[in-house]
Amino acid sequence: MYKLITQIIQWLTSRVAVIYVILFIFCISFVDLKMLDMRIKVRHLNNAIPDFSALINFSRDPKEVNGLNWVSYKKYFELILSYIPNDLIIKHLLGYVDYYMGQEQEAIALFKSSSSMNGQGFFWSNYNLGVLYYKKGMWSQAAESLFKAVSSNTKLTVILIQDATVYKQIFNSPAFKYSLKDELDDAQSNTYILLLSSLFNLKQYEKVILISNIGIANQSLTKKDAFYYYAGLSYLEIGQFEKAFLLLQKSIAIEKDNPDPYYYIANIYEKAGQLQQSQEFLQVSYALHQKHDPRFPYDASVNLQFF
Amino acid sequence: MKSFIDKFFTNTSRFEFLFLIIPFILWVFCFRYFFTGHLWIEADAISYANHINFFTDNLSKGVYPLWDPAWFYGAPYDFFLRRIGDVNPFFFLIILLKLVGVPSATAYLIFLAVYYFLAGLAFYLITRFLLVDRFYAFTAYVLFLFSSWGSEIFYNYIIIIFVPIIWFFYFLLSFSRSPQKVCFLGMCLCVGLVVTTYIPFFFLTILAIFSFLYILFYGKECIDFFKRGFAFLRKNKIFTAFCVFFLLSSCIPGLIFYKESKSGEFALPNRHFGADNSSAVAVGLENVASGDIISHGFFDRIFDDHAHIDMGDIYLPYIFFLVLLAATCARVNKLIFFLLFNILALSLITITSAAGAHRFLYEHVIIFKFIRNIYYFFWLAMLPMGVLLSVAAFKSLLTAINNSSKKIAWLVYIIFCHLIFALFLSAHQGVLTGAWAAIFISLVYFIIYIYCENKISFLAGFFIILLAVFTQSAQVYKSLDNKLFQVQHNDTVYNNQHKDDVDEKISLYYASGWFSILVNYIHTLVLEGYANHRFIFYDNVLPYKDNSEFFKTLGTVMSSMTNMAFVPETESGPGDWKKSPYTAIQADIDPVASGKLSVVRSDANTWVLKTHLSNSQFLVINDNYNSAWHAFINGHQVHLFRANVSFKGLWVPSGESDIVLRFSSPKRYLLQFALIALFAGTFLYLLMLILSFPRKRESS
Repeated sequence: MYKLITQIIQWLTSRVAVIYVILFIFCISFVDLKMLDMRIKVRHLNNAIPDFSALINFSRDPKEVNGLNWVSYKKYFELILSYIPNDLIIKHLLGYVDYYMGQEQEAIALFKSSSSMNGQGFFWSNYNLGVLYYKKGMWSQAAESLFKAVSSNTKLTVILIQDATVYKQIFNSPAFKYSLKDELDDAQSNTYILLLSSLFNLKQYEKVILISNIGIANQSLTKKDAFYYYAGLSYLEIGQFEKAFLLLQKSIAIEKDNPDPYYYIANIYEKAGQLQQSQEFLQVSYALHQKHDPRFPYDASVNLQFF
Repeated sequence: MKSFIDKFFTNTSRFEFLFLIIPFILWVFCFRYFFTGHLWIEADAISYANHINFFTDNLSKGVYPLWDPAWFYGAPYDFFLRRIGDVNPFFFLIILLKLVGVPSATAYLIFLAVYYFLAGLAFYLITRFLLVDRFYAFTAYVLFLFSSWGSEIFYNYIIIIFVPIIWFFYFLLSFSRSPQKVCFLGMCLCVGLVVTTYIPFFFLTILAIFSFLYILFYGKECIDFFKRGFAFLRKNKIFTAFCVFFLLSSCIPGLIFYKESKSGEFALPNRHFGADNSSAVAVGLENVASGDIISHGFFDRIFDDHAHIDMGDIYLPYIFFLVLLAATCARVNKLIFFLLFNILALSLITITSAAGAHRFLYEHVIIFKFIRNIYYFFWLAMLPMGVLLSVAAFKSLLTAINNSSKKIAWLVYIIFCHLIFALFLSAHQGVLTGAWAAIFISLVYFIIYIYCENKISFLAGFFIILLAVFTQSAQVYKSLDNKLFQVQHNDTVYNNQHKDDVDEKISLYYASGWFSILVNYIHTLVLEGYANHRFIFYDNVLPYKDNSEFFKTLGTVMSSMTNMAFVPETESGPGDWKKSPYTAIQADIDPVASGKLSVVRSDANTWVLKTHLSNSQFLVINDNYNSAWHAFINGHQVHLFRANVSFKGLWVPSGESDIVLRFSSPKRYLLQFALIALFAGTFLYLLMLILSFPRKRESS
């Protein structure tokens, strides 16, 4: 046996094959393979960085951007995920891209898997998941995700985004001219609106009133007229017309261009037999509808977002 | 047919030139679009082409350019001369071609092609020397010629130093066998050519590793080599003295350049960032890592996606890998080990941070502080040595087949190896049909070799190897051409778009030291608007101290063209300053139109001006200042000021004046021309020795 092994070694060392053995020993002895691997990955990543301008513009207003090349973003995020499979931020961004590429199931899976970190909710994944369900009319799932979004740790979300290399690349784009905090506040307001709308559709009027009150009390939120509006609608549904009337009036006081509160006030007047006033409010509502203000209804203009 | 084969065997040496020229013509065919002007060179090759053209244009007019007035408003040209190696006698080929009416771009490309052929020729000769067989030398030559070295010459500039390096090693090997004047002079000329460039350190490193390993592997031969070499030097004392003189002379430009690089007269901000050496050419450690072999995707397409191959990507005909694979069970020899260890030692350096070798060398060996694009080691040594190793293994394999009686066993083994390689390739994406054809042709070659008569297989070998390499390479380079057609067209659009983007800061690779400071403080638009007026006359001259407040003032003065120039307080005295309230608000920005000034003559190094002034005024020439510029008015030397931070300024008296501004000293020009003559003379002497060498050998 010993003789056989010796013969094999002798044969091997006298053949060209030995250069492969030397190469192997050389690599494991002198080369920092971990560093080599890391640098090759970094190079591949650097070469794959897409231009984020179009994606940023799309996130702000999907109608303004035509023929967006989603493939470069998908490839880039997939490449990062192949190196860092559990990166929550990248999963979320890939989910966003997948959704707009028509791969809804993949997007849902990615948003779900990136919705929390160590028990703390990540706002954007829950928000996008909620918006996605909302657009499909899946009110219960939408309400669940949107509730997680409003309950998520916004500080954690901001820290995660600010620390993420890919977000730094996005922020470095000349197209990025926004305040991260303002965008987050705006998205939170939208989350409340969609949550209220989902709960309203589920006929959970008491929850709508409760969450509306929380939203109204939150100083950082905007579009508070919508919270009054949904609270008003809920009171209307449960037959408390006076409260409904006051809340809808309050909504109009904040935002006078939204046609919907006028319509429901007209309903209340009609039920009270004050047809003249009802007619007036209906006319106002109709006139405002004719203006086609893109902001209204609030829930229709909400889209998936990544910042 | 038989008589032809016999004739071929008896006169192989006569066919040798044909062996070399046919593949070269095929190589030219692969890159024909560059030569026809449909595609143009890229990246670093562009600036080298421009500088070589600038140099040869000036030289053909009898001007030795030491200053480039067009480079960011003027910069010393020595840096570029060191990059191109100004004393190279082959530049006369470009001058000659231009003289007979060949356009500059074509002349340069012909020079590149000739130079590349010379590299291939040296590689052929080295392989023939080491493997003692024309067939293997031919195989190595063809593999080298059609490797991506061929595209690298249109992308890069290292062919300029590669040719002298590879010829040096050929002469060294020849000298080791038979010490002759021709070999020694060849070595000296090659070293001289490398040393006159600013990057001789690649050569020094390759030579150091080669020498160290040569001593380790060939200790006995090494002692013998030194004995014979020493005897040769003693026998040819005058010749040796001339060679020593030649080598010492060739070091002069490098030493002058090194001194200048420490003076602060020019700057390389990007390159120098993070360097711990005061020389402007020194490179920071992090900057080196960005130029190592891992930092670029050179190897990404070695087996994949040849349809999208790019300039700089490494490509080797698959025969190289097939041969290496099939030779696995062939006998290894000392040469293979020697080449392998050379490659491994160099690869340790080229991967920088992924091994400790480079950091150690950077910290302890000064030359490594000046090497930036460390991946050049791959092109200069690792690739040629790799091809040589593969062909040495090929020889070992064919010898084993030849000496064996088990033909069937070899055939099965060879088919197995080809199948394994084909299987390996099938796992990769975008493998072109040419690659599969190359594998098939290779298999055909081995079958012929195993079963046919030696003479037939030998003759067929030349054609089959060439066919296998060319079939694959032609397709790969066609893909490259297609990509370049697409990219270069788009680049034109892209560049045109960006020309309008004037708000961008000027990005300086190399510039006059003062100008590199100026661009940091003055807005690009202001600076360009100001410096586009070549001559400006001022009535008021004020001293200044470097601080940010001053640069604000300067920016305002430059944009409004106020009648006020600035000279450094430390480089001027009160007698040089003047402020008068009774002067025009604006400076005279077009004295040529107003008849105050006329340009009598100018070239790269000289301005000859004539002025006619009613009163004494301060003339600012918006060409960068350098302490080597001298000014003369009516034959008398006058003080040349550094005006407005970076430009030239001088007081011009009233009346008519003849002004001459000259860069550097007559001694320096004499030295430059003398060096050119020395190198040209040595080259002619070498040619004479080479031509007489075969006759001497025959007579002996």
